[in-house]
Amino acid sequence: MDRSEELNERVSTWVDSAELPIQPKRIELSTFEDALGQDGWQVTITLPHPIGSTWDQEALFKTRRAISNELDRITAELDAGLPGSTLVNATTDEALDDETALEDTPPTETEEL
Amino acid sequence: MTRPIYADTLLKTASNLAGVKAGAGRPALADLRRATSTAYYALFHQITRHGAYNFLPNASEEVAAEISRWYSHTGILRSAQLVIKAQSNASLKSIGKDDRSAVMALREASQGHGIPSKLIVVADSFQSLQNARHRADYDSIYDPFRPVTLSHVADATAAVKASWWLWRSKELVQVKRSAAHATYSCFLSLAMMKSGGPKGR
Repeated sequence: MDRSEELNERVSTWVDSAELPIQPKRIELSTFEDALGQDGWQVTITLPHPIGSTWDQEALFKTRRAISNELDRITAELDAGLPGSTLVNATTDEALDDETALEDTPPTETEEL
Repeated sequence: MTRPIYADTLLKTASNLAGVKAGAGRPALADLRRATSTAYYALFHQITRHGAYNFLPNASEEVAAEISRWYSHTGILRSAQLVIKAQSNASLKSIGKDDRSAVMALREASQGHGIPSKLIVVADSFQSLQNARHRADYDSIYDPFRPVTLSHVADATAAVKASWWLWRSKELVQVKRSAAHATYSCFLSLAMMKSGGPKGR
């Protein structure tokens, strides 16, 4: 098991047992490069469809911060911290068709670019 | 004539593009991308405007606009990262020496009240919105879902409101509010220094 898999498992286990304002269906850990060119940990949390047009901002903020703080705690414990930001991004796999953008179509030959 | 860029106006544009009041019908991908980007810029301009008046409280609109340009996206990001470090339980010893004195300054500015929760909202939202804005503006793999875009607009709105609360705290005499403003002021100063300070155009 590599470092990323181990971290993913530890954070997933924590998320499953934590009482978060919004409970993610699953999480996925990866690295990304921030605007400063520094590598950081990134957690993508897949959420159930919100009640209403989007999730409650405060509840989502507290969920993201709790996961970010826990990941920072675990990476410090395992000496696996990265210099860049730790980010938690929310998405959903339950978006309705009416909430999902149409793909852009390339311009036709008669249209100016 | 100087025309200030107001965060509230950009937030309205972002809301319209994200389709806050949209009825049935699929959103346009370009609208969602621009909504995320505009939400980020609302917060960016709010911070640079506060930063300009933090540096020169009696600045005219023209001079404030010029000073705002001293700020860079990466400079504010660095300062936001320092706020997140300062709010952690990490001891100063465990923080890299490059960041140690800045974290110490932020903690000192809070006068024992802890890093204000509203500043954490500003710093966290800036980090995550900047990343979302990069994906929206440059990434071909972008989540084209309205609920996600609306959450970006909601985050930017909350962060702009939090920054106003922090800014207005300077007019209040309560010790905790005064400490909150001092910590925000420290964040703005660090962002200017990390941006490289005064520069010509």
